[in-house]
Amino acid sequence: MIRAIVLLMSLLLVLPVKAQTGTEISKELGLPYWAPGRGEVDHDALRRRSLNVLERQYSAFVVASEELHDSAIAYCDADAPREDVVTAFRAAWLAWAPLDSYQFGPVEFNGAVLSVNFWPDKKNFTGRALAGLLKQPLQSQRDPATIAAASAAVQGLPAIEMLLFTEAPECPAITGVSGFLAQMAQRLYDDWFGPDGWADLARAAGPDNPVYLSAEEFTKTLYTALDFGLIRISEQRLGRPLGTFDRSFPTRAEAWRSGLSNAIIGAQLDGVAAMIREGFAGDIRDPDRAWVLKVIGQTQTRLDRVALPISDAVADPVSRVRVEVLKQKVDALRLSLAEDIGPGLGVDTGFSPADGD
Amino acid sequence: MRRRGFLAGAVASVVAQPTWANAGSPALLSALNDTNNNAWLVGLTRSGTVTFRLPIPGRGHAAAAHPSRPVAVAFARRPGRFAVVIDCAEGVEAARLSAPEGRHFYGHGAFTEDGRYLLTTENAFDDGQGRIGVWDAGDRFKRLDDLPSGGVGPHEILRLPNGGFAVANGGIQTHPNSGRTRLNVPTMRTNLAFLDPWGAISNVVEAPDTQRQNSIRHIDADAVGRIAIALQWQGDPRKRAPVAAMLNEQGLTYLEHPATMRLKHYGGSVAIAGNGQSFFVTGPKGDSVLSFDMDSGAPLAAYDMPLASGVATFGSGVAISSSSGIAAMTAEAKTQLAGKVDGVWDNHLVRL
Repeated sequence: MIRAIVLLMSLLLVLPVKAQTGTEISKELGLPYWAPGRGEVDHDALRRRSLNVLERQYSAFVVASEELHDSAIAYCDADAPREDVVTAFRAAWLAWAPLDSYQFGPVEFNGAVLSVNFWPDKKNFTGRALAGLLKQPLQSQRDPATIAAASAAVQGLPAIEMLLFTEAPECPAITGVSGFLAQMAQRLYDDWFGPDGWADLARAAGPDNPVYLSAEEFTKTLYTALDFGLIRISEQRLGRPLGTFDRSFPTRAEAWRSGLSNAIIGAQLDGVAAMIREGFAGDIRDPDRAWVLKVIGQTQTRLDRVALPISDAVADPVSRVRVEVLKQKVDALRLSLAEDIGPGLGVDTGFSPADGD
Repeated sequence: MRRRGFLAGAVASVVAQPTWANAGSPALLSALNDTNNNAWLVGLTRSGTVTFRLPIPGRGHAAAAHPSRPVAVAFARRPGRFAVVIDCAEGVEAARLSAPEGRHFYGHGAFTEDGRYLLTTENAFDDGQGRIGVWDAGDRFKRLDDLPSGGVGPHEILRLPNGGFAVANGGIQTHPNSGRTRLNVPTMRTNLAFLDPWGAISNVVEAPDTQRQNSIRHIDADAVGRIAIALQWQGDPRKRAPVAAMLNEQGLTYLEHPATMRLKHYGGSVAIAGNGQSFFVTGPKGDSVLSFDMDSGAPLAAYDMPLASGVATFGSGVAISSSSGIAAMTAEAKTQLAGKVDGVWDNHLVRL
């Protein structure tokens, strides 16, 4: 009975209510509600809301990476507590996690995928590049310009993690790497949201646009990016450490040294949910949107139930099952996205020779 | 290996080998994806008649045709892990190539002049290095070796009139972990590498600094070895960049065309006209085709063609696949060869 009431209440929450102006407003969002009443997706409105979500996420990464750089300087130069650096490091990586899904535009032309998070790193390029960096004079180790000229493997979060969680001497290299990371974060933000940035390019979608021939194409890019983020979770973040039942690979878990593997997945899922809730919002039928958000919530619950760091969990037969269950849930979530979000957005994901190659 | 080659030759002289005539003498090959998402390899005669239509296991990109036997290798689209060897006379799959561990195909390949070896462009993705796989066409396409491609992201490989090869090293680093994301745009350097008939790198033509992000992806060569190039700009999409270039005795020249921007920085494919006087660059993203003078590089006509994608030397001109079918084009005329199909011609036309 109680369960039925809870279900009823959650249904009521997502039902649209009539606003006084006559425009339908979704109560959950406080935003105008279009589909399915209008029967079509308002791609311009969707783009406006989605860009807000992205701006917030990119901006959070700028703030977090600056704080990491500041805390590294305070630790190396002014004996501030090491804990502050570790806390800031965690915040920076979790701020990056939702952006992992959006590997296009400024991220792509700044080479940020490898530069920010050089992972997976099967051949230990980060360890090798770090060894090279640590041989340089201390003064150049702390200079972001040194890092800018070095291998991408030593420019981002995995390099900082290795400095913090191995025997490597942290200072002053950590100030140089975090300084470069903060610069990269700022560059990504500026290239997206600064004058003539990628956001302006998306807003100017149309026949003469060099990238987005229509507003729908930007919607399609976002939708594809969310699906890509879920593939990354399933195949890389979970699949790689899981390996096979006979042989798991604990150190293939992302950020296993700092124990952030699980939190990163949670933050990326939160990012997907934020885009669907606030970006796609009322352009997805309320029941469809509520359903997918519910599945994301269930996925988060499965993640919590893993309880151990993924690197530990995969090595034990009992806890390993929980990681497998989580992976299945992420795959099921992809299916929900394909069934309930894709068609609602009217994005055609069929083949075309214009897909490129 | 040498001995095995001689033995194969001895057998060939006794037993009559099937030729392309046994497969209906197609003039063109292309992959086709039908409306049910089934993929096919299709052979077309000079008049546009379908000689065969054989299933392939996934979305096709380009194909490599054996120089004498009716054998075609259809490649999966990047980052494909398979290629299918099809006996086009019997209509059966003769062998399947799977990319070795840590590798994927880029969707193009070429046979050696004697037809004994197949060369494939490959990505050694954990190292970010371009490789050329070598397969034994005489021994059920067993993998024999692999060689450096001379750059990153080798895409089209083309056999040249002198028996050597040209390799378009697009310069773009990708990794299956990141799907089709380009990982090295700020530092990429595209080039055109030349291999001798034995696969050793004989020359590498580097793009100049201003064009190092203008990916050299698809190439064609004429009888004297001049190369026509279709480009795909990877830098800031708001910049103007050429979509075509050519390499001749004067070196590498980037070509302007008044309709360049119509292609949206994406030259899909390139072919030199049969009379050797012009070349054509298709633009599936811009629904256009541009043509250029082969001697001077001067811009010639631009054509509107929806989803114009594959192009191959054909008669005195070229054949081009688009959403309205396959057309034969010369500087003067356009003739429809094959009409609309229940699907999409994918990426490339291969001439035989």
